[in-house]
Formats: sequence, structure tokens, C-alpha cells
Amino acid sequence: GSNLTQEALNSLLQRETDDKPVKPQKDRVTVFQTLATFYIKYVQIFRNLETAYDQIVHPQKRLVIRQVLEGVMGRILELKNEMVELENSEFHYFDDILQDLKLSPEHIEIPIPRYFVKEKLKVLREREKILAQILINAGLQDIEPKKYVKPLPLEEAIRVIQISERARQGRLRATFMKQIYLEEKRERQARLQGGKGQNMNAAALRIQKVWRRFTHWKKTEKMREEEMIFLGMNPPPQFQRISASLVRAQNVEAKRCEVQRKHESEYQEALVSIKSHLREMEGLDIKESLQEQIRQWFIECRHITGKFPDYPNEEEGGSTAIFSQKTPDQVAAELAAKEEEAALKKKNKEKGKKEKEKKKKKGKEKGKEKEKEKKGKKDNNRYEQWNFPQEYDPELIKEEKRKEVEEEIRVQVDELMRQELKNLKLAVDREKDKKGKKGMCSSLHFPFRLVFHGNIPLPESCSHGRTGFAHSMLHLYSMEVFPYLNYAFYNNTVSHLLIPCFSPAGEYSYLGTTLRQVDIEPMPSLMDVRQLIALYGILPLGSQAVHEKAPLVKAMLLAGPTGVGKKMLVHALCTETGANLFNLSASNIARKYPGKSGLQMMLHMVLKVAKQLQPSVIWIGDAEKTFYKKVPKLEKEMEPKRLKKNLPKILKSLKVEDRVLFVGTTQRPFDADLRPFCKVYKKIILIPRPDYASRFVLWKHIILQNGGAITKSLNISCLAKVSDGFTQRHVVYAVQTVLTERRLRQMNNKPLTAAEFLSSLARQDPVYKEEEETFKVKLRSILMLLPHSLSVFSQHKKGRTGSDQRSI
Amino acid sequence: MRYCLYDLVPFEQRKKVKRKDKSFHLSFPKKERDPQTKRSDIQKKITDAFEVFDHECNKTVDVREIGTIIRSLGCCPSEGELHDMLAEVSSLPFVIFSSILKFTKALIFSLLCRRPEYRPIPEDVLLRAFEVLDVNKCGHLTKEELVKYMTEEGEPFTQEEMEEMLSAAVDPETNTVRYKDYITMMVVDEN
Repeated sequence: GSNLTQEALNSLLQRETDDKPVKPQKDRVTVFQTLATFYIKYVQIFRNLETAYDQIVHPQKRLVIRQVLEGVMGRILELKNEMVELENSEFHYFDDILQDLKLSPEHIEIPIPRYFVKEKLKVLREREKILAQILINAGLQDIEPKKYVKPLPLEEAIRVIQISERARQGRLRATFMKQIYLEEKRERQARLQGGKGQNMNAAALRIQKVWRRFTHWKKTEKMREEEMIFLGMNPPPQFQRISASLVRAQNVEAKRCEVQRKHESEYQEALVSIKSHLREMEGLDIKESLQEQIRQWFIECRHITGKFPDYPNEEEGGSTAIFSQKTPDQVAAELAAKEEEAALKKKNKEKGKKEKEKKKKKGKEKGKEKEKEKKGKKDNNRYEQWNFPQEYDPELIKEEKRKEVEEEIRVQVDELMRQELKNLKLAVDREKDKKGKKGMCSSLHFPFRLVFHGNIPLPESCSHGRTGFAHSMLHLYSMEVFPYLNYAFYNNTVSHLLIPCFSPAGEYSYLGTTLRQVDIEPMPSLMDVRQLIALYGILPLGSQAVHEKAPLVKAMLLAGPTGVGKKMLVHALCTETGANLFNLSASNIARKYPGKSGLQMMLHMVLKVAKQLQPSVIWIGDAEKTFYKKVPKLEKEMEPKRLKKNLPKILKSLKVEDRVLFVGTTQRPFDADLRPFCKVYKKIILIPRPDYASRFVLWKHIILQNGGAITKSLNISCLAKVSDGFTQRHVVYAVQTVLTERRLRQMNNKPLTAAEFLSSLARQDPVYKEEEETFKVKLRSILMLLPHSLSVFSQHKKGRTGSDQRSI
Repeated sequence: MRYCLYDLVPFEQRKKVKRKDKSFHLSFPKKERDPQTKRSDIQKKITDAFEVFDHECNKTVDVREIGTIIRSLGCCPSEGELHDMLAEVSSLPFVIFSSILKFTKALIFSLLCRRPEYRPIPEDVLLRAFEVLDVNKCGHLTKEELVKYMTEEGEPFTQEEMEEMLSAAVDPETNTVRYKDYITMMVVDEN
């Protein structure tokens, strides 16, 4: 798998960098097509890389893959940004391209890298404990006491059982008696009708008729079923049961993860142990050899120039400056070139070595550059046959560490040699210590700086250090900040991992481009929404590198009718990235920290903790209230507009390194004052009501989640059709009320039918058409300000005159 | 009188359903029977139940069958309550229909009007009751325990009743009483 991916990546990179059209492309459509194809290919590469990263056990290989992965993620986000700007809409439809490439919509689904949460498991668990502790201390932990049920006294219990048992027996007996009674009745009637007498033949005939009908009916049923299975319209038997191979695969994956972890920890230990080992063994030798070399250089210099040279001081790189070039004269001039050459030498020395050089290049080509480097160094021709268990390679570590040790020793040697030089000069030439421009600071008070060349990127769990600090932070601020740590924090438990949590089920919209071509704007499906959240929220928040390189999104707005899943998406976002959730809704900050200074202090604290405990999500529920045009009387006390002035300032203060995201949810965005609103929330994502396909998937999912079983008698398609206008919340409520424990127990005898759900569904109010129309109309008027979201609602060709000529 | 397809209530008597919104295309006609038909339904049920036990077709039933009849209609009286009922009616071994009918009408109406006295015991109460008996909380009772409880406490079972219960309750493989399954059998199907 990884080889193919490598080739794909190579070819794509080539195409991107070579194919730079000189003149601007005029046709918007072709531009979009090319962008989209790149995007799709990148997503596929991303998927492959993500699985590779997850499953490979060799720790050093993983590091390299990780870097490429981050590069790819950054590139995808850049491409998405370009497409958004091009199309003036957040939602894109790729069906024609998918058709050409013969892919299915699942292939362009953005996977959420599993390592986001995996690598932070420990940290997350600690955080949970801390939070629980805080809440308990504050006395706000409402451990709902289980409803205290008085235990039945023994006699009562027995009486109850006896009554029911007698009743049951009575019923049973009564049915028997009834049968007997009916029989007798029949006999009586037969006698009355002038007994036809017992006709054996007739009786036998009757039985045979019925039996034959029965057997033939059964046979035809079976034939019909087989045909359906053959056509693929019905699943074959035991289809739903998890196959043995799947189970095996899962076991293997789990084992692999364990091995991975073990190797990783071994690797970390080895890094330290090998270094100390090297230092012991080879330290002395290196030191002596260095000293010899420097001494020789002194003597040569003296021969050539007649006096001892100036020892290049620390800023010029110490003795490295000496050894990169043979002639000491050119030392000062070519300092810059030397750095490069030293780097080059390293590269050549260890061909195929896995080193990362962080070149922070600004600009669009950030992602591309990184990838090129990584690609180059990935050409690994090492012979790996001996390394079957795929443990870390000690030789590689040794090489790296040797250099580090060398550097350290070099610094020490520099010191000694400087002293020696001074003495020599004094002794031989009686030269006084001249203070050069840069100043040879007295070598005495140079601390031994340990120079770590940071070549080995430490894994993300470097927040160990942070955790300690955060721990104390939390205790410090526990009293003040915890009201804002939303109780929905509990969703951040590690048990909710991956897709089961991210369950806004949705289906892909298959007709997107065709509709767009006819200028009907298709309603975005939930899957698109999911992808957007993944792109703008999860990927940047999950990985520091991506956050720094991708186009920055500081504040996001989720708008949509009530019950459609906005809050759930926020919680899913937090869980997938292991982020902390802060609740700054108007209702939550209503009476706390009154006054301007109070507000400032509170915001300052919240931001501080948020930045410390990266990544964090700051949720503002009912976001339109902050920007109310006119505060209604009932809410005046709450002062919902408190944050209005501070929000823009806060957003400005967020820098690229801070993985903090502001998310607002609202169901009435038109109540807000538009200009400041749209200035704050640069990205507005509209979450629609579920369409037929989404509802289908939703019903199935929720029923299964609550323990129901889907059988042929449960017509989900009909349910989905009929529940048009209901949101996810209604569906969940309906299913939960129907699927009580008792019903679940009866499910084997009485399979579920669609009609049961309908009655509890109908008790709730759907979103009526008029309501939705008003929503759309008002929203359209608002979104004139924000070009990206407008296209969702326009029914006719909107002015695409804006920028017809664009250069990529 | 027109009859609609859904039920046999005459069309005019069907209650009009309020429609909130024209686009809202779900509607559920409510089946409401007026008290007259309700009462006659119940009467028919009762007379049918009695007829089953009327072996000589002379509108009399044996006294000892009263309990079975009442139980077959879905009530759950205790033995004591049954005794009281019968004491009121007559001391004859044979009971005449009409007199018993008058008496039990009240009883059965109260059942169908959802008064709690003779209603069947709800499932969760049963479950709790069994859990009280299950001292070890292991999810099942042994045969001996059950026999002991049923024949010694409360209103003790007779030998036949006990055998009957055991045959229904005991799981032949494990020889224990898994009360959760047993409860589903005991519960009145509310159809």
C-alpha cells in the first residue's frame, strides 16, 4: 500500500509543480475541475497514509510518515480554500469527476486520523480525573441518585407472584376449556344438521388438500427468496452477523497497536540510553581527535599567516566553521555557505537517513515544499530482511546520536582550545587579547550549552510538560473557570471514539453537479456538512503542524433549524480531537463577573486556560444573541450583548500557534446585526434538515443503536419517506419512547413494524414548510454580506460576474 | 349508515381530526366507541366466558369454576377476594348465571375502566418480587426454593398448582427457574 501511495504522491507533486499555467485560466469550470481532481487524489493519498500510519510498527518509519501526512493535510486544506474562493460556496460536488475516476463517494470521505486521540489518551484521562475532582469539590457534581425503590417485603412479593401465577393458570385452563367447548358445540351442530356421518374419505381428502397447499406454498416462498438473494435485493442469510474474518482482522489490529506502543516506548528509551552509551564509549576519542585537529589547524595557520588565528566564537559555529573549509582565510566570509555545506555533508553521509529539517517557508507552497523534502528522503533502500519484528533501528539512532554527542563535545573542546590558543598566543607571540568586533567574550563564563539539534521530532504528547502546568493552572482557576467548562465535557470520555460518536448520519448527494449545471442549487447533505466540519474543525485542531500551515479558521458558525444536530456536532468535534470545551453562551455568562473589568478578567482567564490546554473549542450557543439588533424585554436582564465588543478583539489576539476555535450555534441567525456578526464568524456552515437518504440512514442507525433489530417487517424506506419535515431530535425521541425494555424483550416474537414509531413521531411538531421558507428568505437577505454561503439559497443564476478571470 | 374502512363505527360518529397544516400529511383517525357499544362488548365477553364452562347448557356454572372464569377475562384476584365474592352470592354448589352476572359486572367494569384493584400485576413489580426472592441475586431460582416459597407462604399452592407452575417455569436444561423469561409468560398481553 505505501509504495503505491508513494508513487501517487510523486506523480501528483510533479503535476502540481510542473503544470503551472502561465496565463490565467478563463474557464471557471476547467479550473474547478483541475482543482477538484487534485483534491480527490490528495484525499485518497491521505486515506492510505492514515491507515499506514496507524498500522506500521516501526517507530522511525512512522515518524517520516507522520510528517508526510501532515503535509498532505495542509495541502488538502489549501486546495479546499481555493475551491471555496473559486465557487463562492462551501459545498462542492464532485460526482462527474468521481464517475470518470470510477470511485465511489466513500473514497473521498475525509478520514479522521486516529492518532489524534490515540496519542493523547493518557493526557485526556488525566484531564478527566482533574475535572471530576473539581466538580466534586465545587459540589456541582450531581450524581443523580438512582431512584430509591423500596424493596418489596417478602410476603408482598410472594403474594404478587402467587396471584399472577394463579391468574396464568386460570387463563391456561380457560383456553383448554374453550377448545373443548367449541368442539362440543360443533358436534352438537353437526348432529342437529342431520349428521353427515363420519366420512373417512372426505376427512382424509380435506387434510390432504390443506397439506399440499402448505408444502407448495413453502416451496415457492423459498424459490422467491433465493431469487431475491441472487438478484441482490435481499441480503443473504447471516449477513448482519459479523464474520469471523472481520473479528480476526480486528484482533490483529489491536495486537498491532500494542506492538506499536511497545516499540515506540522502547525507541524512546533507546534514544536516551544509546546516547549515554555513546558518550561513555566514544566520547573520549572524539574529544581527543577534535583537539588534535584544532591544534593542527593552529599550527598550519601560523605557518601560513605567521600568527595564530582568531578562534571563531560561538555565534560563528565554533569549530565547525573551521573544518568545513580547508583554508582558514575564508572562514569569516563563507559562514553562511558553511551551514549549508555542513547540512549537505550530513545528507550525503547518511544516505537515506530519516531527518527532518524544518524549513518554515511562508506562502502557499508550504505544504508542497515539505512534501518534496520528505519524498526525497523517503527513498529508502535499506535492507530490512533482518528486521522482521520491525523494531527501531539502533544503527540509525547511533548515527544521529553520534552527531549530537559530537556537538556537545565540540562545545567543550572549543572552550578548552580557546584557552589553549590564548595561552599559545601569549606564550609564543606575546599577543594581547584583542577584543574583536563581535567580542570574544571571556570564555570563562560560557555555560556549557547543550545544543540539541532537534532533529528528532518529539511526539505530540510533549504536552506532558504542559499537563503539569495545566494541572496547577486548573487548580488555580478552578473556582473561576469551571462554570465555563461545559458539563458536556463528559462526552469527552475516551470511550467515545471515532465514528460511533460522529454520528450525524448522512448520505452523499449524488446529483450535485447535474443540478448545479441546471442552476438549481442542491441542498447540501449531511455528509457534506460532516466533511466540512472535519476539514475546518477537526484537522486543524488535531494537529499542530496542520494548524500552522493551513489557512486559518478562527471562528465558525453552525446555523440551522432546531434539533438538527448543531450542538452534537460541536461535541463530536471535541471528542474527535480530544479538545476541551468552554461554554461562553449568553445564558451561561449572564450574571457572572459583572461589569466591564469583570468581563475582561473572565475572558482573559478563559483564553489563558484555553491556550494552555490546547486544543480547545469555545462554544457560543445562541450566537445571534450576542449581536442582537434589539434585545427583547424578557432577555434584557441577561445582557446577551456583553461579548459584542470583546469578541473581535479576542479573535484578533489568537495567533497561528494557538489551537483554539470559536464555534457558534444558532437557529435564528437573522435576529443578529449582520455586519459585526459576519465579521466575527468568517465561516458559516448551514446545516440542513435531513433529506430522504439521510433520514433512511438515520432511522436505521438510531434503531440499531437503541437495541432494535431490523427485519423485513420493518419498512424503513416508508418511515423515511413519511418522516419528511422531522429533524433528528424528533426521530431519536420517537425511537427511544417506543423501544422500551419490555418492547425489546418481545422483539423476538413480535418484530418491529413501522407503524409503532409513527404514533410517537406524530406527537411532535415537525418543521413546517412555511417556517422553512421564512427561514430561507430571511437568511438569503442576510447572507448577501457573505458570498460563500449565498449560493445555497439562490434559485436562479446569481451574479457570478464577480471574478471570471482567475489565475490559480 | 356509511361504514369507513378502518373500523366498524358508523362514519358520522367518527370524530373529526384537527389538521394543523395542509402540508402535514399524517393523520390518525381516533377510534372512539361511545359508552353504549363499550358496555355491550364487555357483556358479550363475559357471557362468552361463562358459556365455556356451562357444561349442561342451562346457564349455570359450577362454583369452583368462577375463579377460572374471572381469570380468563384478564383479572387477577387473590383467593381471599374470590372467597368474599362467592360468599356474597350464594352457598349453593351451583351458581346461576344471572345472579353472578350482576355481581361480576361491577367487577369487570372496574377492570376495564382501569381501576387498580384487579388489574394484572405489572411486569416491573413482578420482576422486583422475584428479585426479593432471589437472595443470591444470580438471576434464577432453584426449584426447591420456589416450591418452598409458594407452598408455605401467602396463600399456599396446592399440589397440582405447584406441579403446573413447575412444569411451566423450570428450564429443563439447567433445572432452575429463570424468572425473567417466566415473567414474560405471566404477563397479560394487552391487546
